Amino acid sequence: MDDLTTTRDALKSELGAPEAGAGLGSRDLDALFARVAADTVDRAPNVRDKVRELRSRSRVALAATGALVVGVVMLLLTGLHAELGGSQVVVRYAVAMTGIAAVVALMVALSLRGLHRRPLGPWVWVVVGAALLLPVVLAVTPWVWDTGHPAPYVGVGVPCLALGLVTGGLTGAVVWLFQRGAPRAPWRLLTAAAAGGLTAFAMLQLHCPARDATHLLVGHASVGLLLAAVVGLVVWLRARRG
Amino acid sequence: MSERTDEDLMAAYVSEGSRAAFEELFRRYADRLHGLFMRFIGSHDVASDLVQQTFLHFHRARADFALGRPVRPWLYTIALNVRREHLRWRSRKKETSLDPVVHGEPTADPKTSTASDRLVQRALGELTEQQREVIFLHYYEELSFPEIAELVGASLSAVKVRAHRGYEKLREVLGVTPEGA
Repeated sequence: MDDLTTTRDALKSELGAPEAGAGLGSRDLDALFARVAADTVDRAPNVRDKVRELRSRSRVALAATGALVVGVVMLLLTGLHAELGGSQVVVRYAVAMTGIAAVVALMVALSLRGLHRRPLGPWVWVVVGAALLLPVVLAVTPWVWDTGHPAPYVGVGVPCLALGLVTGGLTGAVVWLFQRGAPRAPWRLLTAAAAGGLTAFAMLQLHCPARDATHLLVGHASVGLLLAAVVGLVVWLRARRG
Repeated sequence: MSERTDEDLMAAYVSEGSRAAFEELFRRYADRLHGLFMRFIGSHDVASDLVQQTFLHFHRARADFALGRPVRPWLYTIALNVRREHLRWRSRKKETSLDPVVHGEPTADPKTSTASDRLVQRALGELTEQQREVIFLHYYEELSFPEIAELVGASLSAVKVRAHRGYEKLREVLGVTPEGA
């Protein structure tokens, strides 16, 4: 027996065995089980129940695929921009898109992390913050997106922002669909917002040829931050209401 | 007839969807978890709600359970995560409140606990959250340090340091001298 267990036993013998507490009487236990069973084993699972009861690996794979599908469908609906030519440009874009996809997958994995896993440390906030700010950093590094063609004037970027919010919102909704229902942890929602922001940014970079910093910051890079602000507002309102 | 182990019940529940196995696991652990939550939070209703949340997640996560592994640490990990998320939510809700239930400080029901239990509960309030969590699991639940390390997501040595400091503080607050001193 180690010293700390000896300490525990000494404390218990000094103070008397800890009280077991009022506990749940058999009627309380029956009533509580009835409530639990109604939400679990006695309930015919609907589509959302089925997807969130999948193994975590499957949920993450499906949600990440869902984010990809949202981005691709939005791109098919709106079209690729015409300046995507030349092997150097394609390689640079491919590297950037692969990096963004990896961060989206990480955000999805964090968002869908099961409660049966070890708790995450405070570093998760740093990772989520970095993912939310990544589009902003990418927007102010124009050489990544340089196509070698003169960029057209496309305004401040409000139509792009609207398109991005639709894409990001849909991506966030896909991730949320696969969550097992732990809305009380804001970082789970913020990671979904970050995944949405990154998917929207990637889609807009492929759709819109603009390289003006203001346009990129307002129209392309702010989607994740706006979604995060919405999450913050929702969390605050729910906390106020209790 | 020998009693079925938790692992047997879990196998029946995960593989065959046995409602009876789920109910048996619930009846084995619900009261213990309720007691754990009561010690952390002190509200019967909130503790019941957290037990319900714990088993809801236990059910939804069953496909992630590796058959053959021990059930208890798995269930306690879910319970502690449910509690953590609850406390974060509550503290965000009323950050200026002095209500111990809101802040997750340990409380004891004066009608049902002994004087020494209440004393220990008050003394536990003097510990840091990390120390308190480890002491709760070691003192009340009698879990081993490797189990606790797994549950709280810390190294074995970090958990032992927290326990050592926590017990030292407890002894100091309670005025209990170490054996042989």
